This record gives sequence, structure tokens and C-alpha cells, in this order.
Amino acid sequence: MNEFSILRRRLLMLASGAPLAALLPRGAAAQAAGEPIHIGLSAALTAQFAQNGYYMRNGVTLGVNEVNAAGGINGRPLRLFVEDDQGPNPTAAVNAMTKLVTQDGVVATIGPHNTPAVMPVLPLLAQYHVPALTGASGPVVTQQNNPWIFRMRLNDEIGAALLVDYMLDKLGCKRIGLAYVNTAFGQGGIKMVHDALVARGVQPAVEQAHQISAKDFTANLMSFQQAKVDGVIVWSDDQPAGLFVKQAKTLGMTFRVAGSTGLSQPAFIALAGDAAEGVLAVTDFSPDNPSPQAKAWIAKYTATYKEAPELFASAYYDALYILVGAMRRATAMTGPAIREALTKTSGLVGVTNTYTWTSTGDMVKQGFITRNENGKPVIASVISR
Amino acid sequence: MLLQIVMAGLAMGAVYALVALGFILIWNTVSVVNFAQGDFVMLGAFVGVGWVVNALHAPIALQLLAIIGFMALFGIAVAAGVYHPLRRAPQLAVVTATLGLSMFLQNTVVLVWGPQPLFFAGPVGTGTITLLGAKVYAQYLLILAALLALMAVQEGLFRGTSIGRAMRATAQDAEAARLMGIPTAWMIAATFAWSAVLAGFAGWLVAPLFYVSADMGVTLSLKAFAATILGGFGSVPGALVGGLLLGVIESTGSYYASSEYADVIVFGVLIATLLFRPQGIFGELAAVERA
Amino acid sequence: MRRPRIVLRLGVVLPAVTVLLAVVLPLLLGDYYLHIVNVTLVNVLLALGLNFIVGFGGQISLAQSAFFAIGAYVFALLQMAGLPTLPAALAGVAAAASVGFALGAPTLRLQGHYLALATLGFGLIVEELLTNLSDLTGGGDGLISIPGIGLAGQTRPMLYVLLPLVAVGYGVSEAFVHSPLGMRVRAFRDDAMAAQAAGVGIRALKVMLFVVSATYAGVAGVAYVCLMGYLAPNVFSWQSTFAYLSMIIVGGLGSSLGAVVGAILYIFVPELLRFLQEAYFAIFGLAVIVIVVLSPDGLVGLGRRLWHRLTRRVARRSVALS
Repeated sequence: MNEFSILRRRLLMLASGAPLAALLPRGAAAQAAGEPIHIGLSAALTAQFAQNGYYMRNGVTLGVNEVNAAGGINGRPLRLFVEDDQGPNPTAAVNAMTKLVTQDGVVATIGPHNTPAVMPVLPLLAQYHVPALTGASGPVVTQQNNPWIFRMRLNDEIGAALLVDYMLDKLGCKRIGLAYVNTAFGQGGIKMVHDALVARGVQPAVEQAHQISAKDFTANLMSFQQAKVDGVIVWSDDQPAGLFVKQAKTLGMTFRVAGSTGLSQPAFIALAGDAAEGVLAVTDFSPDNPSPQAKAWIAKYTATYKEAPELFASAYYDALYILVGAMRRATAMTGPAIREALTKTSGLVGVTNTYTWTSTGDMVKQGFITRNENGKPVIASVISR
Repeated sequence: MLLQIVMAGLAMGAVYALVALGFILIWNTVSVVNFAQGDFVMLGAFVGVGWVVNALHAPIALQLLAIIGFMALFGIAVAAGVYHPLRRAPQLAVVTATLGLSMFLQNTVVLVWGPQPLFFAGPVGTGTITLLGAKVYAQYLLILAALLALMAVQEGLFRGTSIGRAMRATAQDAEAARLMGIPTAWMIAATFAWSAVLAGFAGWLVAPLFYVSADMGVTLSLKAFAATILGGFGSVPGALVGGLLLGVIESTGSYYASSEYADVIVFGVLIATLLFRPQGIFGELAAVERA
Repeated sequence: MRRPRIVLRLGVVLPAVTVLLAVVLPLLLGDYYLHIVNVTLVNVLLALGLNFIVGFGGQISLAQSAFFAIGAYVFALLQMAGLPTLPAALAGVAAAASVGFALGAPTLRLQGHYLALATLGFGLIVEELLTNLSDLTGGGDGLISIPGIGLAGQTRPMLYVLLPLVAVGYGVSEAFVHSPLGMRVRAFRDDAMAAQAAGVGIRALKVMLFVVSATYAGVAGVAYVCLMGYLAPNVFSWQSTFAYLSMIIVGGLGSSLGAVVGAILYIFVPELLRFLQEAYFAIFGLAVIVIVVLSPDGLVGLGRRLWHRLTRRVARRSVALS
């Protein structure tokens, strides 16, 4: 079902006065056999991170359509409710999650993605007994003793440490500079990098933050040059990182660059151009992944959306299948039962990773270090803790 | 080292000055702070890069003509649909309308072109030139050249042509202009059109340096506003100098003090300037009536 | 005969309406819309507050998001440091008010766009400090599990807390509007020459209005913490301050009811438009333009005009019949 027929239906609903009825409280729906199972997706449909939300929705929708085409779960189709959380916006995220769990009646949700959006909804999940799968990478997300959150991506604490090891051991860098975006993601990630370096006995030579909207990195780059670093770890979003790397090359900087997932994403590579070559990233997804699941996924996604998949679509496609797997195992189609089933996830092979639940809610302990070659991230190393 | 930092600051400053030029034009004419000016730049970038370059693959001259045409029409539409009905309304009403326009533009471009950023190599690509030992993107020189050229064109327009003089007369005293038989509504529309064209040029010029995204205009609006205050609100050379100065303060503050406090430094300086010399460098053009 | 009317309005009608809403809303609305009502109520406080300096004082302030942040963070940090709830809350509000004074006193001699930029710059500085001083404020990750009043996430109890709070805020605003002081301030706002003649006295009044605006924002900050139990700098972005300004203009500048209507519009309408998925803010932005163009004195102004037209028609008809 495409967006326009949904839109048309909703406009008809509006015309008929249905929204007023929609304001009334909905009791928990007694979902009989054949009745759709409501699941929710909280993603950024607007604002700065809409790019990622678009990919998330693509991935999840593809999965939902596949599952429904194959008969659903015990004959019941999945019905996906997508709500906008505007990215790292706590107020909007709580609004979206409240709507999903109380108005849309979902039994489980995927997302929100950004750490400042996940943190305020954790109490809601516990209150309404709804499990959620998230790809947020901020370590705090799984440090809250909340049994309702499940992380299906590499926690930055692990990713940062593994990247640091690679940089010190494989690249042989001696003087490391740290560059990060001044948001929850960047601050949290670079702290992990810092701690990992110190644990290896290396003090970072210099640390420089940038705004997410920064366009000129000359001052930062001059600082790195002055500190004579031979390697810089960049924990930032794909767009500012792309500019950083491009400008570094222009100014003739020679340090190696490694960083967070964004440095393997399409926007980074397109922006940085040939400055992206040789840049390393720690990530969960690589189009280079030789596994049959990954190859099948890439073919399927490309056929449906006419473009190659990237991290968000792939990771959240996996999130859907982790959820579906749990739903098939669950003793009942309720939040608590699904949550219980999710904790039994073990060795589930997805298109990006293999998932096994651990007591904090983290489900992933391995990933890749990729290196950009000829405009594509290729696997340099498979890493795991 | 310092030279490179200052050059980088001047380069970004040229961008701010370019946006500030269009912003101050609207202020001078209708005393409206157009918080959507940065979004005009964004729109120009999307239209230029999204349609003309990427979809139609048109040559440069055609790209520019298309941008000029589209943005001029857009400017007239804004003047007619947003400003004109509110011309006798309190200033804050117009400001709110520009805020609504900003929200509308930022979201509509995503609906039309999708949420991914657009990339555009531009006429000089990412080539660099070495000036006095500092590396500068050639594109920045193009921006500076365009900025000066556009200012010259604007001067010529305002002093040399009758429509330009009519626009200036309307800006200085709309009532008197009307009494002299000048169709002020049309002159205002023309001013909005020219301001939008300036913004469109700015969008096309910065696109190769950064990337085109729906939120690219937000900080540009803020910086343009700040630049005009720094240089002297209402003054065209003030917009130029204010913009360049703002860029340099940003760049040097980022390097010498701390990059995560760059904005704090910039606005700290700005607030201090306001408290001690609120009229900026060139002073605000007197206009007791405008207060 | 205005005073007795206003006493009636504030002393009887306002509490009655508050009680009525407290009873009726939970019956009519589910948890989701009740939560949206709670969020709206916090925004009503922000809008009511901003109205003091912008609507009554005629000065443009873009620092409301900063005072909102100060009230919220000071309350949260003090509480998490061990201070009991009420002193921490009062300290949060007092902090916002004091900063309001510290900012207002020097800057209120600036006019129009200069003040706008100064206050906007201040808002930006506060947001950035909140993000950068991460050891103190939690940085981008924010502050988690703030105790508040222990009602975070409980929509109905929070409604019972927020409704009276907003009612008091509304009452104070209305009392001010109809007080001699209020009328004097508005007279000065509308007549620049009289204001100039009055000199220093009017400037002190404006600083006071600024402090009142900041105080309301501080209260809103405390309320937000109690509602959400979580704080992050994103909530207090410098861009968000424009929303509060737009609320009072779209609602009706200088009118307490306008602030309420504007806040309801800005928070509720996008939620109702969620079915439009990613187009909803484009439509909402367009709606704002249309509303302002059709009625520059806001929705309250529009309502008032329609009311007069209606009552005049009724009056004329009754005259014709007699």
C-alpha cells in the first residue's frame, strides 16, 4: 500500500469527522485471530535527521511487507504505525511514543533512534509494558536497568574500544587527535574513545568539538596540525565528518582518519569525494559483507527502492526480524510476552549482524571496521569483544 | 597558521555577507526582519542544484538564468502573499509570517527532493588556490567576486535605473513615494524579488562547498542577522564588513579559545558590541520614522 | 464598572473553568491527548510569560527558551544534589528571574532588532553552555530520572497539577492587564512619545516585565521537569524560542487568552496533523502564514471581530423587531 492511498484514506476519515472519535480513549484492543498485530516505528520523518528516518522506514516497511506476504504471524498480518519523533527531540519522542502505545495500541516498537529520544521514553516503556528495539549507540541507553529496551547495534563503548585498538595496533598511530560533534552522540562516543585510549596508556594529543551545522573546520584542522597528530578519530555525523575530511585533504593534512559509523555512509563518501579514500569506520553494516543474507538483502532492497541499502535501512530491517522472531516464539501477543521472547534471542543471523541477547539489553557484540576503497566501504576487519 | 585561520574566516564571512545583503535589502525597504532569508538561500540551492543541475543537466549560463527566474517569481509571490496583506500590520505579525514561511520551505523541499543532502561540484569544483601561503578554495574567491559584482550591480540598479530609484524612494519614504505616483506595492515586490535572487545566487555559490540540505538556511539566517548588526544595521557596506568580520571572529575564536565555544564567543562579542556600540561599525542609517 | 467584572472573572469563572477542565478532559481524552494537553499547559506558561514583555511591554525577547532552560536545569540539578523539592523548585524559578534581571537591565535600552539579536544570542549561549558543561549538566545525554514530584509519565495526576498552575498564571496575567499599572504600561507601549517623556520610570517597568516573563519561563521549566523526568539541551534550542513568539502572535498579542490559544494551536494542531506523516509541518507552516495574513491581530482578534459582528446583527434585529 503506498503513501498516497493511505493519505487519501486519512483525508476521507478527516472529512467524515472521524478524528473527533479518535480523541476518545481506546481500551487495549482484544486482538482476535486474523486481527492485525500493531507494531510501531518511531523515526525522524522531519527535521535534521529525516535522512536516517527515511532509511529506517524503508527497511522496516520492506520487512513488514515480506512477513505479511508470507502469511503474517500465525495468520495475523502486521500493521505498522509510523510516528515522527523529529530525531533527538525529547518532547517529540515522548509525544510519539505516547501515541504509539496508547492511541495506536502497539504491542512493541522499533525506535526511537537518537539517544536523547530514547532516554525519556524508557520510563514509558516500563509503564505501558511495551518492549522497544533501538539502534541508538549511546552507552547510557543500556545502563538504566530497564528490561524493556533492546539494542540491536554495536554499543559505542565497545565500538570505540575496538576502533582504538585497530588504530594503535594495525595502523601504528602514535599521536591521536579526537574530533567530535557537540551532541549526545558525539560527546558520548568520544568519551568512550578517550577512555579506551587512556586504558591503552595513550593520552589524546588534542580534542576538538564542532557543531553539527559547522561548515568550516579550518580552526580545528590547524589545531590538529599544530599538535602533530598522525591519526584522528572522528566521532560525528556523516555530513560534518565529510566536510572535515575533505577540508583536511585540501589543507594538505596527512594524518589517518578513523571514526564512527557515519564515515562509511553514502552521504560522507559523496561529500568527501576522494578524501574519503582510506578512511576507516566502525560499523555494523557493510555492503561488502559476503554472507548470503547480506547479499540477498542488498539485492532485494536495491530492486525495491532503486538504490543500495545503507546502515539504517539494514539495521532496522534486522530489528523488525528480531521482533518477528520473538513474536513467533511468544506465548501471547502482548508486550510482556514479547519482551520475554526477545530475551531468548540467540544467534539470530541478520543482514548486518548476529544477535544474542545479554542482560543489559545489548544484543550485538561484534561489528566491522571498514575502509573506504573506490568510494565504497570494504571490510578491513571483523571485530568482536 | 594565523593567516590560514583568518583566510578561512574571511571566506566564510563572504558567505555571511552575501546572505546579509539580501536580508538588509528587505529591512531597508519594509522594515521587516526576514528570519526566512537563510531559507531563501536554501530554496535557491535546491532549485538550482536539484532541478537545474541534477535533473536537467543544464549549462552554467542556463542554470543561473533559471535560478534568477525562479527566485524572482518566488520573491514576488512572498511580497504579494505574505508582506502585502500585512503591510499595515504590526511588525511582529510579519515576523511571525516569515517564521511560518521558514517552516513551510524547510519541510516542502524535503517533500519535493527527499531528505538526502544534494551534492554539486560547481564550476570550479574543489580546486584550491594558494594565497600568501594560505590555501583557499577557489570557490570562495568566486563567492567574493560574485559578492562584489552583485553589490556593484545593485548600486548601478538603484542609482542608474528609474526602477531602481523608485525602489530606493519607496524604501526611504513609502508615503512620499506613493504621493509622487510611484506604484509602491510593485516596488516592494521588486525589492523582494531582487533579495530572493541574491539569496538564490548565494545558494548556488555555497552548494559546492558544503552540500544542499533543508536545514542549511537556519544558521545562515542567524549569522546574516548578526553580521548586519555588527556592520551597522541597514548599511550595505556594513553587511559586507560585518559578514567578513563575523567570519573572522568565528574562525579565530574557534582556534585560539575553543572550538566548542565558538558560537558563545561570537555571540558574546556581539552582545558586548550591542551594549557599547549598538549602531555597529558603520552606524545605522538614521531613520527616526523607522523606529 | 470594570473592577467588579474582573473580580468575577478571576475569582469565580477562572477557578470554575479550571475545575471543569480537570473533570471533563480525562473523561473525553485518552492518555495520548491528555499528555499533549500537559505539554500544551507547559507551553501556555511560556507564552503567557512572553506576553508580558512582548505584548504588554512592546519589546521583542527571544530569550524565553534560555529562562525555560535555567528554571528546569537549576531545579533538576539542585534536586539531584539532595535539596528537597520545594526549595529546589523555588531556587529554579528564582534563578530564572535573576538572570532575567541581569539580562534585562542592560539590554532593555536596546531597541527592536538589537534587543532581538541580543536576546537570541543569549539563548544560543545558554544552549551551548548546557551542552558543553557536560560534567555539570549531563551534556548532550542530558539528565536522567530526575525525581521531580514523582509524577513523570502519569498524565492524569500531572494534569491536576498543571491546570491550577496555569490558571494562576493566567489569573496573574489578567489581573495585570486590568490593573492601573498594566493599563499604564500598555498606554506607554502604544504611545512612543509619552513613553519617552516618562523616561526612567518606564524603563524600570520594562525590566520588571522582563523579569516576570523570565519567572513564568522558570516555572515552566520546573513544570517540564516534573512532567518528563528528563532534560536535554535539545529541548531548549535557540530555534525553539521562535515558536513561543509565534504562539503569542498567532494567538493574539497582548492578550492572555491569545497566549493560551496560540500555545494550543502550536502544540495541538501538529499532533492532529500527524496522519499527514512527513508533510505535517509543511502544512502547519502554511497554516501559520494563512492565519497571520487573514488575521494579523491573531485568532483572539478574529474571534472578537466575529463576536462583535454577531452581536451587532442580533442587536440590530432586536431593534428592528421592537
